[in-house]
Amino acid sequence: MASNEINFKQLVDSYHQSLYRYAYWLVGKPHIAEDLVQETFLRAWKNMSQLRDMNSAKAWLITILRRERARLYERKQLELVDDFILDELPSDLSNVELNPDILALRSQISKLAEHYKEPLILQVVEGYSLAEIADILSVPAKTVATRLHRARRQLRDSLSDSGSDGTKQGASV
Amino acid sequence: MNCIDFRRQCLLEPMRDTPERIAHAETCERCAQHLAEVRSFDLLIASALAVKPPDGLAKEIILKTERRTDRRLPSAWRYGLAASLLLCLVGGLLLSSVKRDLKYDLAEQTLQHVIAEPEALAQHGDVSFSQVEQVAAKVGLAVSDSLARVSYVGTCNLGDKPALHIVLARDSGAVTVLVMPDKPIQAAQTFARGAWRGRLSPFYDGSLALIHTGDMPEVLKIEERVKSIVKPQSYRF
Repeated sequence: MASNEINFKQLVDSYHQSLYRYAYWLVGKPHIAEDLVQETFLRAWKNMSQLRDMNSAKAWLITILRRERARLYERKQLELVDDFILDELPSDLSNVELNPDILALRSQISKLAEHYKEPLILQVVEGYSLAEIADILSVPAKTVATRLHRARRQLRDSLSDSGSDGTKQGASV
Repeated sequence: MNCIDFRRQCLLEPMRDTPERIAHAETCERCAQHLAEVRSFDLLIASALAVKPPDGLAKEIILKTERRTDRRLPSAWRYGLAASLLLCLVGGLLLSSVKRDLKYDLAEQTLQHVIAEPEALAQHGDVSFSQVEQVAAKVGLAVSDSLARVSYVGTCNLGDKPALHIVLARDSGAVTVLVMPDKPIQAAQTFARGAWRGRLSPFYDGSLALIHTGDMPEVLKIEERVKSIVKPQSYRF
């Protein structure tokens, strides 16, 4: 059991930030994202024996988080996506938050449909391949590719409409 | 690989380098430019997605898990003791396995740290050599010469260990240098996650991490330069 406890602490140290980020973009409210991450780790702790390989731990945790989130919605009938709280993000991101292109992009990402948002986070931030994302989301890889393409196109179009040139600005971040 | 295949792959997985893709980009300037634009946009998306969790979230998770399962998880000394016992009991095989896990975690920790601190990457000022020298001294490091185009310098904690955090401005994107005097690793490794690439290498009794979005050859030159001018204060130049 001791090794389970050590592994669990390692999981928390290594992945709580990734999971919080994922949860935040799913639910749109920092305090609910925090609860969701807490519930995810609690569930993970109870099921540590199911984790065979620490290298696949993050995908395992994301799967648990998605299930916990579905449970949360069932219990509370929450409508979270429509009223994203962008203002409550940690203030120590001040320099970036002042960048108007990133602010505009955050707003547009929050408006993306969930089935576009999830593969985007998994690929752009977490670095998963198409096949891995397909596995995590339980959809075909071709579907993932289509959703990623549409998500990027929507974001580009929205930035173009608002007068920002995301491509050029991105190089200076 | 032709231009159509190249661009199709860029759309599907912009950050994934394959030998064929690298070879094509070296011979086709327009495709290389296209890839750079696609990657720049992904980097902008990654910056927008980078939200930082509340301070102390990891500790809060451990505490609540203990409370709700009525079971104490190991404190730092218990963790160490348990790890030592395990290492002694199971021997070399387990030893190598645990070290692999720790190395893997360090890569993850350094990436997480850079992703969670986009404000460090967003600095544009020039930091002087004396500022770098002063900050380095706080974590027990001595610097003998200047690094070019330092845009940020600070100290930070990775886990419970202090580190020197430097950001270098480069044409291909910012390069974050983390000098971790108390985080030893056995061998160098490279890793990638989304928009970011990383390299960890041994550095005296600790390790050195470089996190970037640009070209690996340039990063290797930076690694060499950092190793030639930064040393623990206990070592003489």
